[in-house]
Amino acid sequence: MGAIDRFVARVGDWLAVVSGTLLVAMMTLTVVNIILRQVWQAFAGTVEIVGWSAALVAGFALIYSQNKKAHIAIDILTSRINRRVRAVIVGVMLLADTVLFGVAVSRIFNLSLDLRGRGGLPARLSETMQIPYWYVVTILAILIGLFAIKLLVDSLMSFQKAARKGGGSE
Amino acid sequence: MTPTQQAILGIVILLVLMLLEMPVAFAMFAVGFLGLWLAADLTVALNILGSDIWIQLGSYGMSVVPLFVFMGNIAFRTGVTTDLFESAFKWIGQFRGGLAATTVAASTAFGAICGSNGATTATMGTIALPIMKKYKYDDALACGAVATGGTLGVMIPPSVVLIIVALQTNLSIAKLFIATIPAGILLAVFMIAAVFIACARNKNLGPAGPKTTWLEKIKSLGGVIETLMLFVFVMAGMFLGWFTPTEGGAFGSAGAILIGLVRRKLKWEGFKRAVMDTISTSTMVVMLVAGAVVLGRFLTFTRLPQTMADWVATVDVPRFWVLMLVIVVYVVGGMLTDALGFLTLSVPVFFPLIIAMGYDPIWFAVLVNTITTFGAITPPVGLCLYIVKGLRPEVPIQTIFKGAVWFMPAFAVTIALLIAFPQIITGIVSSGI
Repeated sequence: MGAIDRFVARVGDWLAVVSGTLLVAMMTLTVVNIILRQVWQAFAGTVEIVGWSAALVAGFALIYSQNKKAHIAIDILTSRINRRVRAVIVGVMLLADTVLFGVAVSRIFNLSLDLRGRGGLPARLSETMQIPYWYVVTILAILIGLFAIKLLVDSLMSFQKAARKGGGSE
Repeated sequence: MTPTQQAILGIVILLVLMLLEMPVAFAMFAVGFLGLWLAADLTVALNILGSDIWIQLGSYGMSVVPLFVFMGNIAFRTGVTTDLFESAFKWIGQFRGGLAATTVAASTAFGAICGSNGATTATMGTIALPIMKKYKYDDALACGAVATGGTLGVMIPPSVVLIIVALQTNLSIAKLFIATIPAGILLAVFMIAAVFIACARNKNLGPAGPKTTWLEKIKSLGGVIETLMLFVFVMAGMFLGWFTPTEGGAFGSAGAILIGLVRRKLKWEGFKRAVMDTISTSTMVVMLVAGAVVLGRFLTFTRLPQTMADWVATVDVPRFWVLMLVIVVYVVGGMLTDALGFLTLSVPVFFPLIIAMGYDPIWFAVLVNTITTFGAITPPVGLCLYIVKGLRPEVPIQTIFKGAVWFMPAFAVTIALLIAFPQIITGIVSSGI
């Protein structure tokens, strides 16, 4: 399990590099657009590209932020209970999160299929640039799917921690 | 089960999940999804879960979050804090307690480019705590000044918390930023007053630093002028409509990078760390908002906010007391959980109620931001207290808390003034400054 955890963490780090690159690109595009607007004319697709980039910045950083324990959680109660019990509770919560994000993946993937065009319908186009954007939604669905796997691995790690000997109150 | 009962059950389950250490964002997703399933049907719940995640993550409005967080992180990594601290020290360091007051003043200036109280506390503490130790400052005063000064990170715009409140309530980010400036400055002034009062009562708390000439004072501004100009330009640009908040964040980030490069204070390693910290923090924030939106859909479906507003309209209780009750909830909530987490989950519940009572939404947003920020220096969560503890491990947490207590009247007076004189907030927005 430890090896799987390390592998998933490494994948998270790689994806985080992509996220960081997109962040810098998003900033650069926005600033260039401000300058272009002053000296010539604005690039009409900026709003759409920045919005999609923001979604992907978050998507690519999901595993990394979980690794860094960035999500706000309250441990007022759990920090006062037996370490094993706490590990079981955390494992159950992570398992519930896995199911939740698993469901979300299926829905976002379904949404991407709708945008791609089903049953003979054409692909939905973005308002300004008039280009299909279903692939952004598909990438986001895949990234959330990977995040759900990360949550599952964390859950199993927590159960493994609870099963180990030497647990006690903190 | 009536819709109101469903909503109350949902809130109870949300609290239970949060107490069981489920991240706040995920707990809101879970309760929102299950609640919609219960209140409507599974298809509605599934559709809202999928579409809301995409809509929130992929919206242009949400892109403001990573860009302003990036601006703060770049500033954090370029060591601008040292210049801000040295400049403030030259101006007020020669007074008794001057170093602690310097810490608050420098935190105020740093808050102008950083939207996080944790980052402000950590940055300022790294610089101020060793200097105050050198000048034999009382541990409680030194640690208290750093911890409470750090809260100004979210009180002075740009503030991540205010961005989120604005996105949730459809308020103008620019107006909210401008509106919170008087509250942040008032709080900073009262904090500095608290330092001088404490040092006047006990001369050993904070010995005076060396005197400086006017020339030294003015020269010291050279190190901070670009940073403060960047702040003014970004704020003015957004408020005057030169650019959108997202563009303001991008411009601020690029400006901070440029200042760091020109002054040769931004290294590749620092830049990388700023980027990685930004993606981690902004992902957390974006997920919180998306979770709050799903939860909000469930609460709207049950009509809980409207029911509360209708109830308030029928009961014979002055609206002021209802407001006081809401404030008590925010004080307790801010103490028990992170300000951002509590605000995202409570805004869908209380905001419609406050609007229905006729209060100004921008004023209320600034007020609750001030109240929940106070939670960062109170146990049991007290984020800023624990950051200071991490920086000065040898100082007992009780001593740090004692130091924070000296600054609590500053919060109480500021909050009381904001309630008594809403014009402090509403005036600046309506004046169009």
